[in-house]
Amino acid sequence: MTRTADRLPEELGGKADFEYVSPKGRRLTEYEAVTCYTQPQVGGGGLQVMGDFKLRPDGRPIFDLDGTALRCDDWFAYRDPNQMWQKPYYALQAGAEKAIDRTTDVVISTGAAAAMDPGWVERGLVGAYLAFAHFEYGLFRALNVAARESLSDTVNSVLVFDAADKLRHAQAISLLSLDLETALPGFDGTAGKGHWLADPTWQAVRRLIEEVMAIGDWGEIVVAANLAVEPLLGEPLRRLVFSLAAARGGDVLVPVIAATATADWQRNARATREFLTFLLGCPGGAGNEEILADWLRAWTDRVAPVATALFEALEGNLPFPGLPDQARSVGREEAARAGADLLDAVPVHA
Amino acid sequence: MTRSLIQAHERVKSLDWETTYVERPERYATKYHIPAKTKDPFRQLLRDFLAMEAEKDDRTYGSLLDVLARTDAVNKADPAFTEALKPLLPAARDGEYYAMQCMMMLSETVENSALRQGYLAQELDEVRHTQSETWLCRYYAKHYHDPAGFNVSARTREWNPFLMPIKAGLSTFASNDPIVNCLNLQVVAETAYTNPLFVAMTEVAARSGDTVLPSLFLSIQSDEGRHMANGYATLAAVLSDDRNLEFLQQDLEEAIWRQHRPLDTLLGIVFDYYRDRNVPTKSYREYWDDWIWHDYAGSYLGKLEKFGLRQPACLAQARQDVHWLGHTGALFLYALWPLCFWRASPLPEEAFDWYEDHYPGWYSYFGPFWEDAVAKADPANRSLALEAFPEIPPLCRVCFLPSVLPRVDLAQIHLEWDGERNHSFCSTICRDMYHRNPELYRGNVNFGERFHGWELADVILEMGLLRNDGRTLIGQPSLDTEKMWTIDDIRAIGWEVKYPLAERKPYRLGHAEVAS
Repeated sequence: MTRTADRLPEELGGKADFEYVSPKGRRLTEYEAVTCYTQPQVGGGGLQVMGDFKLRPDGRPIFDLDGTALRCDDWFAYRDPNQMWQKPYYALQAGAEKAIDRTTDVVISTGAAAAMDPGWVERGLVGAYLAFAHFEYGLFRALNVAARESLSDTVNSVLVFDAADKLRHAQAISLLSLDLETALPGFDGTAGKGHWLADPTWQAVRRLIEEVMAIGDWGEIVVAANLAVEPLLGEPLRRLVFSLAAARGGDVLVPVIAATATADWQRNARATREFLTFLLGCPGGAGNEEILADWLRAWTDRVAPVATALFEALEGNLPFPGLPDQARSVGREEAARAGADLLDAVPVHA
Repeated sequence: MTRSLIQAHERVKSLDWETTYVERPERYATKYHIPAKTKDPFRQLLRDFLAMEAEKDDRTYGSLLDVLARTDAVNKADPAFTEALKPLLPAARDGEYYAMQCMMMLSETVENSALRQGYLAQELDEVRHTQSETWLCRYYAKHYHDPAGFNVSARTREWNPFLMPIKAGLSTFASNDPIVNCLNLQVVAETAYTNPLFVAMTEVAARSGDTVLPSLFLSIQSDEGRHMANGYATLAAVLSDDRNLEFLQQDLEEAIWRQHRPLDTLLGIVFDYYRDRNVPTKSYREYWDDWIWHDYAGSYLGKLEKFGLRQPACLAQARQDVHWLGHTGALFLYALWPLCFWRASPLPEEAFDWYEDHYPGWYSYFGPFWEDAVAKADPANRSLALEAFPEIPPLCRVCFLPSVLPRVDLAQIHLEWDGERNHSFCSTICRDMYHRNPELYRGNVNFGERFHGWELADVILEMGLLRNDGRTLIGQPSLDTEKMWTIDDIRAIGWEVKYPLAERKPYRLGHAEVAS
């Protein structure tokens, strides 16, 4: 069967592209085409006009406009500045994981792993980095809930990928812990969980992550995770401890893995900044600024002393003279990257 | 790096911990008891998963963008089949999106790290499927000779009386107790129906000359095996606790019914009416017997009888109804062409024997309608197939399908007036589901309720179903582009949507069983 037909003129066939999406730029991008209006949402800019077929057992709609205190007449107008969708995302992260796997292979096969400073291995790699895997996993769990409850597909996809980034890094650390067991005699890759669950250095951090995992409002999860926890704790750890301190300890592997997570964070920080910009200016969002500022203030106040205590402890443990001050500086920089400067809240981590 | 997959998977699972400082809120409550440890449904690390999916993407998108685009493959297929993809692709995408939500809920609720790892991989699969199916819809819009429909489907599908029940059925993946979502999605839809949808559909596509759809659908199907494993592992976990059996029996029964109703109607139509009839293939009823009755009910569910799970009673009813569901559905669907965003085509008389051979008795019920349809396809005759229906048939409050299925004279309609609204149910199962918590069904309005009393031409305008010339309808009753219907043709006929159940008084139907 090889029937062919002449293309209908545009007045009959219409545009050879989606006509229901308003592009942010001059042309509809591939990201916009595959993302916009895929979430079957009633209200808040969604196209599902016949109402909810059935509510959830607790009486809420599948996509609940009251799932956050934030308000917006059209959540679907948000756009991810990274234009991320599944194909480039899987290609990007497959590349990152391949790089980690190859680096691990080389570092172990050449004996470079065995040359690491034992002090770094004990206190930095096992005592901090392996414990940090659970930090990342906890944020993954929190962001995954935020993704489920989020309004609009464009917000959802940013949060799905943000959550997946956390899971990827957590799993990469887990695999490293296993790989090093073959390279370093006596290395116990399972010890990180013990630090996470019982080491006094990490207990305030664990409590904090468990609090973020229990937040009810998905918008607040985004603020807590990406404007307080990540800038003040996660990224200073990755940039300072898991990069600089690791390198000083002769570890050429952890900085490579952590750098892939920093790249993820920079992408997510851009998306978060755009999220704030969007919410501060969107129709129907007059009360958003106060809500966001309140959340930012509360979570910054909550995270800052935990970060200070952790970095002071690591300053002595690793050792890493000046770590608390450097971490505060990185914290300010990263909070601003994610958009904290857009809100009239407390100065970050003063 | 070479490492033991078993060890690696165990290590990754240990990322989970039981929170002790803060009690986690119960976000998605379940009545089921799930053991903390079970067998892994499959061992999938994100590192391997990403590499595998990126490779698949390279192949799939690569072939679509390269050779299939250069050879104009889209326009070499039978347009009757390609037109069916205009509703089918957005419908499939809805299922994928709800499935992603389902995985997020399961991974939050099920405190079992083996199962959770499986759900997480599936969640990312569903993102891939949602976006790749949308990408494919755009691909058809770019390359097919009549993009109208592909280019507006996300908007025009919303009030479509055919797509509403399908979307309602797929929404059960995210609107229930997470384990009930899982039963609807993984245990029924993915295990029983993805072979017909993603494997056999590609056969239908290929036999219709379409090499584009199979390229993507077979890539998607390659993920579905893992999803079925997730469903089976969850089911096995549920069955390992005797307390679950009393819930499971009823929930499985309802999940099968909720998926059977829309999916068998959809698949019956596509398999029996949107295929190249010059190529000898089985009827949908025969496929159903192989895949659902023997493979799924007999083999898959049969193995669970030793755990105390009885064969769901509704399967026997479904088997009877499958005989006629697609035919009644196809008739309604064709009659509704002015409200569709794709071009239909009347059944040619030379095809009648195939239907009578495969579905004895078909001609006496459906033949005259299709004979009439050929003449009514020409706008010059100023007559609509819809005129055969003075009223929109009662629509089931739960599944949104016409309650006159599987065939008007075989239907078991239940009608109720609750003091404010009339409700119609297609079956005792849908009726009982509604009565368990009527409040959960108050959020919707069906097509008849929305447009009762409207002139058809105004409904078409409201639904945005005109082509860019502002006159010609997107939906057409034939593939003839020389004789296309306009809004003026529809206006001249003046057919009005009548749905007496929309009136605020009790509705009575002569031959139906009426419960008050």
